Amino acid sequence: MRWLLALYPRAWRDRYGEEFEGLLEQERVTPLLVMNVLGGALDARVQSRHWGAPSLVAVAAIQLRGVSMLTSSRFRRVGLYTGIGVLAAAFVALFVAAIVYAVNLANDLFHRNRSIFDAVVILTIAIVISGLLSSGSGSGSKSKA
Amino acid sequence: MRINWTDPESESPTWSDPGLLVLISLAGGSKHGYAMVEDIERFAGHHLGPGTLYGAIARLEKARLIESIEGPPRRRPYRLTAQGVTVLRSHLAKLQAVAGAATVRLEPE
Repeated sequence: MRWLLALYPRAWRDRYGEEFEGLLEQERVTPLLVMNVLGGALDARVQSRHWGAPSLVAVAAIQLRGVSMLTSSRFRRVGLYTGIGVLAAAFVALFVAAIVYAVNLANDLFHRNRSIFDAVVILTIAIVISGLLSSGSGSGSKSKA
Repeated sequence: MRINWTDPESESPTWSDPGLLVLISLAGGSKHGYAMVEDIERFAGHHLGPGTLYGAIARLEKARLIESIEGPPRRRPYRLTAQGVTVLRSHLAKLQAVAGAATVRLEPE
């Protein structure tokens, strides 16, 4: 569970990290707990408005470089891949954030039925993973045919 | 709904708001994180996860409604500030006014 602390802003970890770890040790590890800690990390970043200035500058620089490369025929393909990569990363981050928010919201609604909620979360994750695996194997068999 | 704890005129929190639960817990004396979780579970029947609890603690500390006091780093205790007591009283008065109105309406005429 300690690795989840790395998702919190550095200033937050310096201030609350040690006591937060102390509290985590007292809790039973469940999917709900992991979601709650992820939601807390998202919240801490929104609160501190700290998304990592260097990383934002780097993303902006990559995007600008990507745009300039797109306009140059020599680097068109590299620029296109860079843009697609940055967009894909942004979509994945938004998707994860939406899932964490939805799970925390559902937890607030169903907090009295914790075991049922845990079962629903595990079942949902299992369905998503099996769906991804089957679609992967399906496309593989299609390409063979 | 996020409460603006630094604005005394802001909308009142609901009974299940983590910030309000933390303030009520600390009104009974200084406590560290785990003691707050246990206390809140006892008086409100609501288990606050670590992410939710420390989100509320960070907000309340930033608004100077609570402060940390000397204690072991892994079990650092918090207490209400004078401003925290005032804000808690103000929010409780508003919530009690709503509860009072509901109670009166439910009484048989």
